[in-house]
Amino acid sequence: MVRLIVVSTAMAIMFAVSCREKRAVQEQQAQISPEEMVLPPEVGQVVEKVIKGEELKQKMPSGWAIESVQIRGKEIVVTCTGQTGEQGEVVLGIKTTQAGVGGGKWFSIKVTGPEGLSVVGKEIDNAFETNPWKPPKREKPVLEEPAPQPGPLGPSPQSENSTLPMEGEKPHSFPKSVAFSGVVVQIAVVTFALVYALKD
Amino acid sequence: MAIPAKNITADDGLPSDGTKRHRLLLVFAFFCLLFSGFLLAYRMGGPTPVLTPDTINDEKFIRTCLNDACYFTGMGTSSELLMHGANFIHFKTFLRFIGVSEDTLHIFLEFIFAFSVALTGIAGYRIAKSVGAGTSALMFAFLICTLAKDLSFHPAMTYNHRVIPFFGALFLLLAIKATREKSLLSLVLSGVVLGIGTNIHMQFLAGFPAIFVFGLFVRGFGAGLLGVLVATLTSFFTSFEAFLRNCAKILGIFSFSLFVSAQSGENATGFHLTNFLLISSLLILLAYVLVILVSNRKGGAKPAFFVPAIFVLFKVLFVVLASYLGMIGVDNKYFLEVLPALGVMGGVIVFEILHLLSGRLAYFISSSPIPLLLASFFLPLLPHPHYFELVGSDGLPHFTLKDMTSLQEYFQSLGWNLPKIITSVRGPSAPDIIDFFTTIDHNSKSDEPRPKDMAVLYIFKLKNEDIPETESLIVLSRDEYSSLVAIKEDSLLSIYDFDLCLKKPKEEQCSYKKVTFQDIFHAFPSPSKRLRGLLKVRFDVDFMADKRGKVIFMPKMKDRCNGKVLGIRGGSSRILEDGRMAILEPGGQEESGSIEFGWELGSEGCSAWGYKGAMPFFLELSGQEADKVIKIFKRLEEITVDRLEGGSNG
Repeated sequence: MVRLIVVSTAMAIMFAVSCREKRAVQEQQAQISPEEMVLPPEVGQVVEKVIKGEELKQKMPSGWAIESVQIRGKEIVVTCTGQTGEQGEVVLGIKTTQAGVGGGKWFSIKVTGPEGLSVVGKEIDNAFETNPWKPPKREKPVLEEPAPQPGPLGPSPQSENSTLPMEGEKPHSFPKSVAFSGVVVQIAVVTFALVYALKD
Repeated sequence: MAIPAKNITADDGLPSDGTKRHRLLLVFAFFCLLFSGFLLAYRMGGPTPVLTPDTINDEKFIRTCLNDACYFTGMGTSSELLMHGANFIHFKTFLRFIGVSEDTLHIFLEFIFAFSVALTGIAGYRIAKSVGAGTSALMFAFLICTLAKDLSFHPAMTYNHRVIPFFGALFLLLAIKATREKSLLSLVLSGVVLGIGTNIHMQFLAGFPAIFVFGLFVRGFGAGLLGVLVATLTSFFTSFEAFLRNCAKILGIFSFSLFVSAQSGENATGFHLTNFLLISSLLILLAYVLVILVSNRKGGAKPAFFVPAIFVLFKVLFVVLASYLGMIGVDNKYFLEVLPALGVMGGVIVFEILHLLSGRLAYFISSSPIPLLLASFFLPLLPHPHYFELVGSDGLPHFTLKDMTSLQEYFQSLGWNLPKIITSVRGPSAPDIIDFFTTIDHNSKSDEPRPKDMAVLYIFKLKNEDIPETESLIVLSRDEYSSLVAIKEDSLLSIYDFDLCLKKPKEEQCSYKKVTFQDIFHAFPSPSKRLRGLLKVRFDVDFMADKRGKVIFMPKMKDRCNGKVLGIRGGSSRILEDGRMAILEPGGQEESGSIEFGWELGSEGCSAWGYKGAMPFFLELSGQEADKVIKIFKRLEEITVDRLEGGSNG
């Protein structure tokens, strides 16, 4: 039993450490603005599937075909050629404030050449079920703790059961270290009670 | 070898735990039970939790606590007089601090449910061997599945109720151990578990008189007092402020109830015997007493037999009393912590009946782990609501954390800053979203909207088969069952600048106050069960913003505050369908007008559940797309009404 408890505790500590590291990465990612987002290499597979698909070929303006696709960090450039050798280009970039016109769900779509080529952009855009833009990888995560802000955040509680203490009857607040000490002690006591209850 | 059948009872400890091989088989069978329990929990709870106002309130608390402002008091209870301790919220905050995501917590809570199944099985085994263990676990799981169907117990919501059955099972197991072995340590530990459980959810209060009786069984009056004292002190130390407040409230609770009764001339909630678990508990208690009386018990029944029955009995008394006094309405959810006890009672009843039929058969079956293995096999096959059904149980599917991620990505892709979007969002889950984003996004900067920023964004989930083919509907994410959709409309209404008043029941009229963007969050009266009156909101209408006009529609949703259009002025605008619909249409030279909405707070159509202390829900849609969207909502209304009628008939 003692061995079991020691092994479980060690595993719990390892789990907590790994979670803490994961959280640090998540926090770093959360601080990245949309303009900094980049396209990961996996995007290529989705794009390839679209441009090789029959559906797109049918929707293309007559006489036009896709010549090449370039996937860069910030954009996807699709070059198309017409029957007479004329060239057109569809550029799928990051969606910004001005990107409402001709924009898809995830990309802004800029077409050079016949307007009908925008179908290429729309098809590629529709092929992504989730946002393809990912935060860039940074070597050292820089953590910035938000400034301590006493008292409740956000608007007044909206559940049938009010959560946060109301104005005028505000109870004592205390730092999280105190709360966490209590949690750790209670987890330890409940674990002991559980082990003891199972012991026959 | 012949076995004297008349001596075979569970209480005699028959059959013995036997050889090491037998014990190993039993341990294996209990692990199977644990696995099956997890499978069942996962099928019901799914991979990601759903968001409800309560979990979003928890989120606010977590954020506040992470910023070094933690409280001893947590969520308010259903009775409005008492308050839960903050233990569970501190637990969630701690997990968040070390980096455990909400998804991981959800899976952990599913494992906790599996543990409560196994603990119930073990408690059943201690009294009625493997037949009792298997039946107890099955019955407990069956009751949980029944509760999950009417959402009294939502298995996909990371809320304090998810751990209640676990604490109930652990408390029961320790109490059985204490009475069987006359162990003071077990009694003390059960008191500690009870104290912590009470701070997680106040419904554990019924355990206090129960532990006193268990103490009487262990070492008499002194031990009874010790049990109560330990539970009280634990409750005090782990959440002293909630404890003190609740004690003060409990002391005044009866006078308050009488006051409320005298004021309204009736009990606030009344007491009706229409409750599944209340009736089940009474029937099981009766059956339990009968089988113990009828069974041929040598030397009478041992105290451990009575432990689950006493726990359930006090629970029934508490719920009936509180309901009679108008403190709470009788609801299945108040029985969560005694479900393991009800399961164990079911196990004992089955064992005793088996024993009455044939002592040898009872011995034969109880001496093998087969009942436990059978229970493990049948557990995931119990009729239970699937995760995807639960997610869509109230007409509109619930939001999940994954939806929130999609939503955030969508907002970012729009390039809007968050506060602007938050104040623009209106929809079935709008207050939830507002709350969620206001809380989680501390990076966003406040930005007062310019007059042209009049876009409203309706976000809701629809079942895939309900999605209409309209150009204005944007599908943000989709799973095999439902989709997160958005409708973005340019509003004709002055959504950041309106007039508000609350006409109380005895008042002839009310005076309007001007609400602007800065005070939009605090302008609406706080929700309360005693809040009554007609809430009126008046917007200016700018017909020049869209000369094609708009359609206003107010769907009747079970979990929302439903209202009416009270008045309309300008152009050829008109009210239709008894105030549920209005057409905003320019006409002549008029460029502006006004529209007034009304919500009867505290009425059946707008209960304390439905009103969230923010702008209630209505739709403003473009003429050409409006019909399709309104059609969906009308269909959802029918589904909800059908479900409600089906539920009440059932």
